[in-house]
Amino acid sequence: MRKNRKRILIGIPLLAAAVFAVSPVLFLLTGTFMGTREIASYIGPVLGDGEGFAVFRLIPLYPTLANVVELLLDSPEFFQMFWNTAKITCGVLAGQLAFGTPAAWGLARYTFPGKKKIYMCYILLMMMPFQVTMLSEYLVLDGMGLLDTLWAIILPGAFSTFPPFIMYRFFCGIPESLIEAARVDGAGEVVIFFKIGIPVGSSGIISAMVLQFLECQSMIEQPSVFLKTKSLWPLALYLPEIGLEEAGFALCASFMALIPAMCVFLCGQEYLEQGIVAAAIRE
Amino acid sequence: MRTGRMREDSSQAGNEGAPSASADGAKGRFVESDVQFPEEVTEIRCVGARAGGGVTVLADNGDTGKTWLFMAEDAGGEWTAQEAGLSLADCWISGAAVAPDGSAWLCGSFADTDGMRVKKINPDGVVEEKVPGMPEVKERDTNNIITQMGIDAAGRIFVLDLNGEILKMNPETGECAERMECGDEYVRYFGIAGEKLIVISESGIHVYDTAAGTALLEDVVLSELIAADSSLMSSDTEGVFPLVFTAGMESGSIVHADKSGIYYHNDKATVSEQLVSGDLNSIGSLSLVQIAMAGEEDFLILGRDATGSRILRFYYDKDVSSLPEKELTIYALEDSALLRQAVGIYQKENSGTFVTIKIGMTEKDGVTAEDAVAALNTEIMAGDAPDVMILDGLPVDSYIEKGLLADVSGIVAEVEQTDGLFGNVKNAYEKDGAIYGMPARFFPVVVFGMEDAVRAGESVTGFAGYIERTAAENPGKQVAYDLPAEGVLWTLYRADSANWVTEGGTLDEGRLTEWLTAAKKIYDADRDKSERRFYTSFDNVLYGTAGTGASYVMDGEALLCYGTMVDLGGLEMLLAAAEKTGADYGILGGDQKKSFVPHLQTGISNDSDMQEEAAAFLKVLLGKECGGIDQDGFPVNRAGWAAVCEDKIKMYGSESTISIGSTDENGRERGFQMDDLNQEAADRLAALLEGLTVPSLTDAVIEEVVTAQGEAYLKGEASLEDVVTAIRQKISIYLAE
Amino acid sequence: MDRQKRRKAVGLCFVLPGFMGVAVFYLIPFLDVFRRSFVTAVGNRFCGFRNYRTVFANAAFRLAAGNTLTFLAVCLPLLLALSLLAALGLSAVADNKRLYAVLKGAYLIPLAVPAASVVLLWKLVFDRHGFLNGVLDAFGIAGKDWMNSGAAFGVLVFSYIWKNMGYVVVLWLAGLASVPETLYEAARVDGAGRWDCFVRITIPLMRPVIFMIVVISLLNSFKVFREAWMVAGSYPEDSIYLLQHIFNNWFRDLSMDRIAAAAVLLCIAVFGPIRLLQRCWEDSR
Repeated sequence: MRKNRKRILIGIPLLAAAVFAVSPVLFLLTGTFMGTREIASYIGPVLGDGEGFAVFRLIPLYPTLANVVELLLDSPEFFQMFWNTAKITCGVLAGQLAFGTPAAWGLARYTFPGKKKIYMCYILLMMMPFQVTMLSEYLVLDGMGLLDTLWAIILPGAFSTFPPFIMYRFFCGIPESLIEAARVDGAGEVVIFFKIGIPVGSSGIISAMVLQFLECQSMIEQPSVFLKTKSLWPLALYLPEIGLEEAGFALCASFMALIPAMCVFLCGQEYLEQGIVAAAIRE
Repeated sequence: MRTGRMREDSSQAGNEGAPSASADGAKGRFVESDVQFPEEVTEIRCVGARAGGGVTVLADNGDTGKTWLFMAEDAGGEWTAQEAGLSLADCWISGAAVAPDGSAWLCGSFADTDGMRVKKINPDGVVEEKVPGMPEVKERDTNNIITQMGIDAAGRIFVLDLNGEILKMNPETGECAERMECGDEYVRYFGIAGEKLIVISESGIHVYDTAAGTALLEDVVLSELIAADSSLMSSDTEGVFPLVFTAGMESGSIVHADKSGIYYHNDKATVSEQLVSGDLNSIGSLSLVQIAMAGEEDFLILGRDATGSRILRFYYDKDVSSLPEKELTIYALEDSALLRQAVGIYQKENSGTFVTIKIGMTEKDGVTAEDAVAALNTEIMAGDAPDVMILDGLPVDSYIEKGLLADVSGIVAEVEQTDGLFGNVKNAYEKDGAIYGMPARFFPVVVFGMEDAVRAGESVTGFAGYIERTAAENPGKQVAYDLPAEGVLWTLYRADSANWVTEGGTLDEGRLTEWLTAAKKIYDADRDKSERRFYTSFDNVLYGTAGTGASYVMDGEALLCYGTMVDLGGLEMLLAAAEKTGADYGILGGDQKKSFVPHLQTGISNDSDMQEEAAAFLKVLLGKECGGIDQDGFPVNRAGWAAVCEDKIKMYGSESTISIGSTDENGRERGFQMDDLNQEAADRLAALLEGLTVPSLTDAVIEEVVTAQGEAYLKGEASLEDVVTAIRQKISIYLAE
Repeated sequence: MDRQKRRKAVGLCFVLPGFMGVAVFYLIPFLDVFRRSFVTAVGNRFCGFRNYRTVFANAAFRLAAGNTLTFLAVCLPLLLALSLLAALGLSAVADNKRLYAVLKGAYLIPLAVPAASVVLLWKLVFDRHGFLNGVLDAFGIAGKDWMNSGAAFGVLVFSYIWKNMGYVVVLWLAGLASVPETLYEAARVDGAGRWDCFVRITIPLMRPVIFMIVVISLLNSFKVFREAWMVAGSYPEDSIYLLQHIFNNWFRDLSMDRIAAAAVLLCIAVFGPIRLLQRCWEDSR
């Protein structure tokens, strides 16, 4: 009895916080199926000279698919940009798997001169706001002839230092005994990486990839500076254009853009946590 | 056709027009030129190829009533004129086309007859008249009319009617009884390429065989084109089309043109080849009427722009290098039709230079002005600065301070010597003998009303007081033609902001407070008296509000109005309203400094290695020809100003008065009799313009801060004190940076 | 001995390809920024520490740096504390598997909402006529213009916590799970209370996790700028005028010299605490 009461006491604020966290997404979802007029009548006060306050309802009075139809059938640029985002994301994640993972492994499991400096360097570079290095990065990309191609976004993303930073922690967590045992069995260093590092650290790799995935979905500054051809732009640049005047359409586009991120995130969530637990347990 | 070769070439003519990818020294490309007709010609009606080769053009003079057929074997060669026995003055022509036998067909309502007529003008100038028997209009009580006309390669004539149906005309009788089976959808417009009828209706683009009248297989190229840009689906303006078609040399092939260029594809193709890029030519600035093929690799495009109708010729020149040796880059934050026309003029005179216009912000993307400026600055600092910069909206002062802009005073002086300039504008930009950016256009904010209103309008504060008093004396009556809060601020900012800067370069808070108070009074005077007329996209609407407002004054719906006057058309509207009401106009604000709004302020990058070409372009932009276009402000060029005036006086002041009608949001017709513009009125405006000595503030940050805060104050959401404090605080951060 | 050397080489081989990319796309650009901090914006002439002096003397920079620091000082502890509380709460209901998973999933969702959508929502919620004022009004409390008053700072803090809480909760949960139950039992036998256990056992053992949480939270605190900028523009309310605002505005004015100097300063400022944290972590190993 007492235990139950305590659980309710803890559960209620937790639940409230959860509802709070999810409410914006619910708002997007509702808005997606709401007609332009209905939305306008709710949020009118924010848009114009109207008096009073904006309100909203959870279930549309007159549900409609008009926004979805307009977005999916009459907005070719939405698809174009959606594909660009997809290409960028795939490129970046592939690059991270190919280069970021071994780098994190090397930093975590081996000692060599300059290792600590490199690690520190990774963390500091990770912290620099984009505006700071924008110009110099532009010069580098220009020198390589990559400007105005998707590579100008993919390559820097593929070498971003954030995923290695996450994976590093996970690789550190693999017990030394496991690796020593493999060495005794005569496994080479590369084999150890593939047979032990990747499987045991897989949840760490996945959680790093999930976070990098989200990063790719919300890149705004890089494409607007490095890509001049607008048909190459990713989805994140499409969304801000839709004004409040077309709120229904804006909410619908926002919701659609959110779907892939949410799917990946919710599927990856399990690994995210498992990985951290696995990494920490060895302590 | 040279399909094979064009495939190679077309890679260079990619839409973004980057020439770097091409092989050096490749030869051959399409070159643009204007087809010149005698000066007497004021309107070109149609152009078409004859079956045996050669082209025919139908043109006329609206004042004298003369009409000609111009014929040439080679579009670049000699044109012979054949006068035709009819007058097109005071006619409404809804469709025109040239038949393969060299005759020209017209349809419309003519001065001497009632109702719809079709006229055939034979190559010898003899005119035949026919009465088109047309089906009844469905569900509406009105006579059916022809809205578009086209003729195929075999001489079959097709017309579009009010029912949105395509009819085949009997060429002997003119009867339009035979309906083409194009489904049940309303046809928006159509085009003809050889013996293909291309129909654009709600569901997309469909192709029919003109001989058999049957539907052909889907044309993938055209379908995708329409799918990618739905604006190509509708033809909103009478007589001009988003897409025009003609047949290519190869049987069954189609050549189509839109603002982005001229394209070719044959029956089997799934992609089209770009023959001519609109970015590099004047096509981009034209509204298209027709395209005709004058010979192999030779196209004629009939189009309209602000100056009237004209024919552009594009022919393939094997001897010029496939890409111009030089590339001139022009950057503008926002697109401008006038800028594109200037590029067209420049391009015609300098076909050896390839002009690329880069637009920072377009309507279709979500780039903010700040993002666009950041991207531009990256290029500038990386050494890729554009050669010519339209400085409107850019941080000009920083650019000058950082030594980015070249001194263009030499170029300005040269233009001044040949054509003369409005010295007041030039002087405002001259600092220590140097000019780092010169506007090509400028315009005033004016007040229009009874004499005491105009007098009160000499200062914004006085004007606000006048409006407040008038509102009190006329309860319930609309005082000024009203604008939304953003519009009030936008307009008044331009009238008064020049007075805010103190000698020390800081903002005069006292003046700013006075201005805000005045803006609030002006906004409040008419608040809630009428439904607000504007809700979205104020920026474009706000250019030329004085003229629109005058029409309300004329109709007695408002006592006075204020706003920008950006062309002689606007002046004419004021004059017309003045004639009727006895009102007058004057410059608003500036009891201390009278200010003008600069437009298309142009500078040349110091880093550019194209100084000569950039200078040549600036000369065109500031020059007489460009100045002779009546839109987007008044030209700083005196000769251009004289040309505009002469043009408009001839047009408006001619015996046949032109009435400009528009329908307001209540469906009411508003009409103007435009016949008041004369030299005297133009000279008076010139004198007023000469008195404007300082530009209104162009600093984008200050305007953004002041108007955003001002809006809260006008709408009653913040107190004057809070607003002034917020502005002070933000501007002080800005200045401290 | 030889094997040792070989292993070093192998480690380097793992790191090098990735590091080369990092060098090209991040390190070299940053070194270029470092160089620029010592030259003039116009003409690229060496000017010693002049840019640094200009930056230090700049009132706007001092305001921005102060605001950023205040923001971090408020946000980081708040986020860490709130999410730790939530994590402790969650682990108390962990035996109800479904509830546990649903709650955790819900907390994570905000991280996936793109910035543009967040901005749209913020505009609707925090406007003068927005939802929040509507709710307050229903309770008879006068609302305010959130983004244009001192409350803007609170909105920014809220936005940051709303977005990042989920991930940090997951990190805490993982950290908590990593502490072996046996240690607690042993401590309890010694008569240690709940609080003692937490301070003496949980916290020290979780130091590596804390390091990671702090670094990630710090990183994400820089990302809140985009939202602030999109909602409130280049010149927001005084209290949320952050370092990136000034970077952005300097860039507009082509003042790369100042940006470079300020960036180097920022780098130094970040380096210190991170080094310190790393020390803490290493001590625990």
